[in-house]
Amino acid sequence: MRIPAVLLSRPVRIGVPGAVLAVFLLIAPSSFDGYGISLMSKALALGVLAVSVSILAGYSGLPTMGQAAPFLVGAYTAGVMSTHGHTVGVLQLLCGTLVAAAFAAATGLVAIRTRGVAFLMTTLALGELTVTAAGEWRSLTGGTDGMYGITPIQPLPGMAALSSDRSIYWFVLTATAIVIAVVWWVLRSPVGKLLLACRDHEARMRSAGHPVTRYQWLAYVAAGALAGFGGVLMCTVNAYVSPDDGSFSNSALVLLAVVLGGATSPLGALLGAGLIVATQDWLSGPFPGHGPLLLGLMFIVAVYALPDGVAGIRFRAPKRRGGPA
Amino acid sequence: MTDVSSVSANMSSLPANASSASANMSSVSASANTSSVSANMIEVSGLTKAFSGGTLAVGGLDLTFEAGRRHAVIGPNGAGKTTLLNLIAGELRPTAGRIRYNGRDVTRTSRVKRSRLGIARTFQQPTVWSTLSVADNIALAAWPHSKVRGKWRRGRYRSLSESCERYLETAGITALASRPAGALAHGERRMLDIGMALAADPRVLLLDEPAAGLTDQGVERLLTAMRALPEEVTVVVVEHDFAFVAAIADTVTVLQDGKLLATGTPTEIAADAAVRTAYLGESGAVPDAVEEVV
Repeated sequence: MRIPAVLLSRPVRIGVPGAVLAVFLLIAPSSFDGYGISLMSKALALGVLAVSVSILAGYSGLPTMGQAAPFLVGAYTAGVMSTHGHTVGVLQLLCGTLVAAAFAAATGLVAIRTRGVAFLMTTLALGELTVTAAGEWRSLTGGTDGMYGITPIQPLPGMAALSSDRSIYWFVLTATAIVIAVVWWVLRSPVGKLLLACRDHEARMRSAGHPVTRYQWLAYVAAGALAGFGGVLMCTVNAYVSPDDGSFSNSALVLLAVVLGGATSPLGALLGAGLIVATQDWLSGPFPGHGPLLLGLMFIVAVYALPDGVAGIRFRAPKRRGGPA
Repeated sequence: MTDVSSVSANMSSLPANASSASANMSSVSASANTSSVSANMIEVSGLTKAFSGGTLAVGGLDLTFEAGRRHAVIGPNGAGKTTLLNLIAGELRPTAGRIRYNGRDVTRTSRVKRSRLGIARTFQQPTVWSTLSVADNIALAAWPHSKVRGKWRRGRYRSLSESCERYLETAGITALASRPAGALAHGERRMLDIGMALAADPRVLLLDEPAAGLTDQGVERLLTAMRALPEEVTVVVVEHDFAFVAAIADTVTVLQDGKLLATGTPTEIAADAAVRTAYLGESGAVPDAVEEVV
């Protein structure tokens, strides 16, 4: 059967899955209980972190293992603000994003000088150092016990505090939709082309006169800011922050989400994060204790069957015999 | 890589009626043919590049490439031709020696800055940004050299891309503009690589074996593109195909084992005994095809 060309066009390939995802995110909360809604909020926060990883690993050619560090910085910023009485959600998002961006700007000066496995190891080391620092700095972070007593946020000044899982979900969904739209808009602009060219052939970019290191540092800072944004959302959802939020396993999980969803697709990264949370927290119900095994199987299937991730699935017309290759 | 026999075969395609060639071409100065030409665009002095393990790729080279002329660099495999280009472009740092560009010492200048100063290059293996379209490849190559501000905006980038259509035309790849560069055939990639170098609006154009892998039609297109270059552009071509070199070069520099062997016009070089020995081996046994021409 021949598939009409219009179904293979880019707007349809992106628009239809995007619309299906949007409809699901809008109607699903009515079918879930508080725990399920909370998990969806958590998946969205992790999804923002996964999108930040996709900017680095997919667009800039910088596969990172330490992106949970700026995520943790963003989460602690929100936590500290909350414990000091600053509970306006938008303000927390703004400050968390800026502090995480500053953190990425400083650590990026070290990380961006390396490439490949060295970059992976450097970001891993920076992530672990951040977790250790968070565990030791008890006066600010509460140490390894984490930060309790985080009061519910008001989305905007003068609004009521978000007291239910459902209201928090709508806040997180709105914030995620806005930030993903901005990221998508930027990556579809010539800025995205610059990053892809750096990833494709860095030496050629330098020979053409492009300051590659500056581009990649800016991408690193932007990805750090985005991860911080996700961290603030996670703090809002959990009302608790601990060094575990920045752990290596979180960094590895979001890298897996990007592999599952597609390295150069923000929507794919979101979907990948959703799959991870669903596997860890829903499927582990019927298969208790087998969450990591299921994740491992998913990773193997993704690597072999979906090299471009879920977002890379294409519906192709079957080749005709004797036709052009 | 081309072996000695194939190089000698290429040399046989020369119009080599160079009976007046001197016995020692290394003493022939390029300036004999370029007395009316202005300053030296590229000057290297004592240029040396030793790789780890002790391999001396370039050993104490003193060379000048005069402005606005077409220069070719030839030599057997391992002579240091590509290394010389890499040193001039800033891809490699010299172990010793100086590189001057338009009177300015650029020995320690980064390749990004050299590119912005006007040195553009192509690569032995054509290198393109595979996931981007051909038109995007050209536009991004022109990006750092364009005066348009705010190119990260869609509208400005579109303007930049439109202004680059002439480079697609010069390279003969207009019909491929929307194709992903990674889907191009070798010859098409080669022409895109050249188009990208031209889009940088260079003052010095370094071409590393531009004719390698091209069809006759492709070579013709390349020659047309090179002839269409503004006169003020200085071209340095590393090439094995001597017929191609003879068609475009004003002066030919011959390297052997990283050292200067000879410099002269293509005709002079073709008849030079030292050059022929370098290409054909110590015995100097001249194949029939070459003997017929000379």
